[in-house]
Amino acid sequence: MLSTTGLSTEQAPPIGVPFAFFLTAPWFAAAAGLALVWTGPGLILTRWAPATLAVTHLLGLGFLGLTMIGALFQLLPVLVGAPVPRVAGVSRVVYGLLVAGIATLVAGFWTSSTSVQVMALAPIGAGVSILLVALALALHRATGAADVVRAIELAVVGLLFAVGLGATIVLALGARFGLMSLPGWVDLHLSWALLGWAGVLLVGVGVQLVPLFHVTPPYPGWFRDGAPTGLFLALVGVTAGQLIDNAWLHRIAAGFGLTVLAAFAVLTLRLQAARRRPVWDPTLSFWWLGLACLLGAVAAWLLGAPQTTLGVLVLAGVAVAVPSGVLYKVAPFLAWFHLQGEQVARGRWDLTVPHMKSFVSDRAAHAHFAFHAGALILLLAALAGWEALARPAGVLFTAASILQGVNLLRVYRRFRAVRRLLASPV
Amino acid sequence: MERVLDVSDLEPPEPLERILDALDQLGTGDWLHVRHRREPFPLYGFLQRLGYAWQTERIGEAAFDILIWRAASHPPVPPAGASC
Repeated sequence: MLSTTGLSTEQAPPIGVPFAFFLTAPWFAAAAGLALVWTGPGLILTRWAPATLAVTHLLGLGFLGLTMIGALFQLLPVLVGAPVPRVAGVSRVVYGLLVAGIATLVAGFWTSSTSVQVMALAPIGAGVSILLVALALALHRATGAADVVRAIELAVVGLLFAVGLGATIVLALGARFGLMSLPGWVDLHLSWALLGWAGVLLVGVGVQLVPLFHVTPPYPGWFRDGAPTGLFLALVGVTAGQLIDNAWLHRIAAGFGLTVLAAFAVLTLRLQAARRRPVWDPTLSFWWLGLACLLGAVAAWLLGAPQTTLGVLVLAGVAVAVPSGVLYKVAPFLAWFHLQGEQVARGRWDLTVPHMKSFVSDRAAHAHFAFHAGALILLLAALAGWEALARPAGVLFTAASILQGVNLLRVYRRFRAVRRLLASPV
Repeated sequence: MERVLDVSDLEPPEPLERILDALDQLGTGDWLHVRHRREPFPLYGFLQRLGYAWQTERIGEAAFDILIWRAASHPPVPPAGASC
C-alpha cells in the first residue's frame, strides 16, 4: 500500500479539545468517591439504591465516557487519519451538553427524581447525537487500518444502543409508558454501555495503543481483526436471548463475549511482558491492575458472584484503571506533540521542547495508582463482609481521583507555560 | 544519497524526534529512508510545514517504509503519480 496523504497540522485537533474532557473526567470520579464516603456500605449492597445508580453514572458516563470521547477526538486523526470535521466547535458543544446532562442525570438518581432524570435526556441525547454524526463523518473519510476503523464504528453503534436503552428506561420510570421486565432492560443497557461501547473500544483501540506505547510485538492478526466484531456479535446474541427469552442463547453469547475479554486480558499481559524495553512505568501499573480486575470479573461471573462485586471490578477496576493508565501516556504525548508543532511553526530552534516524560513525574502518577489500588482492595474487602471499610475506600478513591485531576492539570499548565515561551519574542 | 533510520523499536515520541533530527542533517539531494512499525500519521503535518515530501509503503504486518525528501528537489523514486 502506498500512501502520500496524511494529517496536516491544521487538521489535528487543538490540544484544548481532548484536554477539556480529560481535565473534567477525574472530578466526576472524585464525586463518586465522595458519594461512597457519604453513603457508606449501603452504596455497594445493592445495584438499585439511588446513590448506587448515581455513582454508576458518575463513573460510567462522567469518568469513562468523557475520557473515551476526548480520546476519540484526538485518536481518530492519529490512528486512522480521520479528523473530526469542525472539531473545535463540535467538541465544545458535545462537551457542554454532556457535562450538563450527566450532572443533571446524576442529580436525578441521587434525589430519586424521575422528572430530573427525564430532563437530563435532552442534553445527553443532543450531545450524543452530535457526537455520533461527527464521528460517522470522520470515519467515512478514514484512511487507516480497516480493523481499527471497524472497531470504532462498532463501539459507536454500541454507544447508540446504550444511550437508547438508557433513555427508554428513564422514560419508562418517568411513567411516560410501561416497560415489561425492567431489570432485563437495565441488564441490556449495562451490557451495551460497558461491553458494547466501552469494551469494544477498549479492545479495538487497545490492540493499537499497547504496541504503540509499550513497543510490544503486535497482537495476532486474527485477534485484532476478529475480537471487536466477536464481542459485538456476542452482545447481539445476549440481546436476542433476552428479547426472545432464551436463557441458553443468552448464556452462550455472554460466555463468548467474556471469553473475548479474557483473551484480550491474557494476550495484553503476555505482550506487555514481552515489550522490547522492559522499563516499568505507571501506565503499566494501571494496565495490569485493570486487566487483573477484568480477569477477576470474568471469574466472578462464572462463579455467580453478586452483581455488586462484578460492578466494582468492572467499573472501579477496569473502567477507571485502564483509561487512567492510558492518560499518563496520551496527555504528556499530546502536550509534547503540540509544543513541537508550535516550535516548527514559529521556527524557535533556540528553545528546547521538554521531554514528554517531564510533564508528569512517575512518582506523582504512582501515588495516584497507590491510592486507587488501595481503594479497590478496601472496596472488595467491604463487599466480602468488612463493611466498615466502605467509607475508607471512598476516601482513598476520592484522593486518587483528585490526584489524577491535579496531575493532568499540571501537564496542561506546563504545556501552556512552554507555549508562552515559544510565542515570546526571540 | 539515501540515509536510513530505523525507529521500529522506539517508544513515542522518540521516532518523531529522531526523524526530525535526521531531517535537520539531510544534505541537498539526499533523502531519508525511515523504517517504522506503524504509519506515522502525526509526522506528516510536520513534514508538510517544513517543506518535505514523503511516500509511505506498508511492507509487512507491522512494518512501514517512509521515504522523505525536500519537496523542492527530485523524489528518490517515482511516486507512481501520487502527490501530497
